[in-house]
Amino acid sequence: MKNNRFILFGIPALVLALFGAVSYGSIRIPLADVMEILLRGDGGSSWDLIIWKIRLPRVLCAALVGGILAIGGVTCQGLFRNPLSEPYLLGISSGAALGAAIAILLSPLSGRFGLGILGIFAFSGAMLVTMMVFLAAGRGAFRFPSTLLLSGIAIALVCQAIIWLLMALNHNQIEKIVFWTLGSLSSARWEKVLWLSVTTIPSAIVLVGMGRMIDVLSTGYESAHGMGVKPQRSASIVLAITSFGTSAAVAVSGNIGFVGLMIPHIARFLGGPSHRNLIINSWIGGAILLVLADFAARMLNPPSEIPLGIVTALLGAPFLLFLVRGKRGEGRLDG
Amino acid sequence: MVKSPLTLKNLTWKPRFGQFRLGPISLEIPDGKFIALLGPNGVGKSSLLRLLSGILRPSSGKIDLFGKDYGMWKSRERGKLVAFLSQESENPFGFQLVKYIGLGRFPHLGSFRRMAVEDRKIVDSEIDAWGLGEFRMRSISNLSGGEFQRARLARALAQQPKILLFDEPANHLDLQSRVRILSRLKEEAKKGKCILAAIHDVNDAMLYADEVWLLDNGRILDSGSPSRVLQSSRLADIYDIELTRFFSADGRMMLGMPPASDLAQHYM
Repeated sequence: MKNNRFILFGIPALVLALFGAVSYGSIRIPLADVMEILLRGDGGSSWDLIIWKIRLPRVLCAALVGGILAIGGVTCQGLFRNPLSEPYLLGISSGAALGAAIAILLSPLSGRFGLGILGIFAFSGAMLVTMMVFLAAGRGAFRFPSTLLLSGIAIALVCQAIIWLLMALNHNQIEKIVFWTLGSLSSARWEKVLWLSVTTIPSAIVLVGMGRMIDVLSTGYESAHGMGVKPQRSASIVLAITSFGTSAAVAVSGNIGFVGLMIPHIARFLGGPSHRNLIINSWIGGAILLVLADFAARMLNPPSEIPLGIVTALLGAPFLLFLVRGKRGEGRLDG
Repeated sequence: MVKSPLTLKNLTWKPRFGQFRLGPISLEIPDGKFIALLGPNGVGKSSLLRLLSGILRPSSGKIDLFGKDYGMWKSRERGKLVAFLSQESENPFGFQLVKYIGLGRFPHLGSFRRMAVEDRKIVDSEIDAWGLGEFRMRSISNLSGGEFQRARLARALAQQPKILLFDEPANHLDLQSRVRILSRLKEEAKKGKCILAAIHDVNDAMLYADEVWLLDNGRILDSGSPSRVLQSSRLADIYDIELTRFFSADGRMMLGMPPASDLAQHYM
């Protein structure tokens, strides 16, 4: 926390984004009223309903999902020493999509309790596929990251093929499956806030605690070993926590891309590469980005919503390009 | 009785694939010496260093670190005693130099203990010793090859290890970085550290090492003082090259490579 100037403007920016996103929408509720309603609780009026039942759980979900996706990018880039890494390369997104597709086809009624059948299937799919990727990569997964990344790509292709097959056999459900994979938070409710809180926040805290070890691991397998770390075991723990947290988020939001790839670069650029601070800063950055992106998804074309993955890609890619080009003179993003 | 830093008992190692076999080697590695491992590519220098660092486990036999079997050491305790700089390419994201060298304190601090005044002093004195003061707060991605190699050694020395293993410390470096790194290794050995480095240049070994081990086909063929080992006919046999001996103005023996014309006759 010390020596971290980023949080001085990061946290106020996040608070501002949260309040802004609660206040604005198809119906505008002035900030003063938002404050009052938040302080006194759900009184039952229509504004109370909008804030407590709809917008507040939604922005909180956005913040929690964005935060953990960004952290997932940090740990994967650090461990694989590769600036293009992100947690989806471990098979999380394809596994979640496959799980979700199966759930959509199996249960058109898709019970609406807690995480929902869709969420449970997506979460299980993500975790199962990630485990398969690790098993396929074998014991040298961290020592030879390209083995792991290539296994991830291969298994993701298989999942994608199965999804396409399922879609080809079930024309009437194609739209639902496609929209799920593009990501959305329109189904956010308090149960999901609770689910995200108990899964992603502990993951994030543990990873912050392991920050210094991730610093050491990011120097490479043999270097890390030389500095008194068990590289394979430590890296496996970090990746397992990363996969768990990211899968839990993707189960709620669908596959929102770009956050995990982009936010770590921005946070590294603004607050330095030491992982303890970087993880905290990326959490804040990811939360801000997703709150704003979800806000844009609601506001750009009301009353219908634009899929969140489209918004993050359109917002994120140009910014990333701008950063990469801007940094040319002074060092590089990859090292 | 003072335990020898590293004791090898019938050590052998075979990779999972291929014919190569290292050892059997039995010996005690003394402290206070800069030992140069010399031999052609692929004879087992890097494998030996990896075994001595604990990255590889012996196929048979064992290695004792200060009298205790290597596998029995907790990794962080091992990290306080042994530092290893491998040939693995290291490109961590652009840490500030002072943070990068500070990583060497990890075995002492673990994940949670803060850098104390003592730790900072160690890091600062390394930065000063290597003349890297102007880069202190800058990103290591801006360092040149020679500066980065110095930073790596600074990081390893910040670990304050008893044993330092270094795979090709002088590779790709300009003369100044090479001389500084090698003379620092010699100096650290004089202060009591046990230093093993794989080295390719015979004159580097001649000038800086206290002892040379000559490796071929996974075995140590000869070991002893540089001037003796490097004069022996074994060296010429291993490399299949006739080196010329000459003496510098202050009387030190050096080895020179044969001119191209001789080689052409030799190999054609």
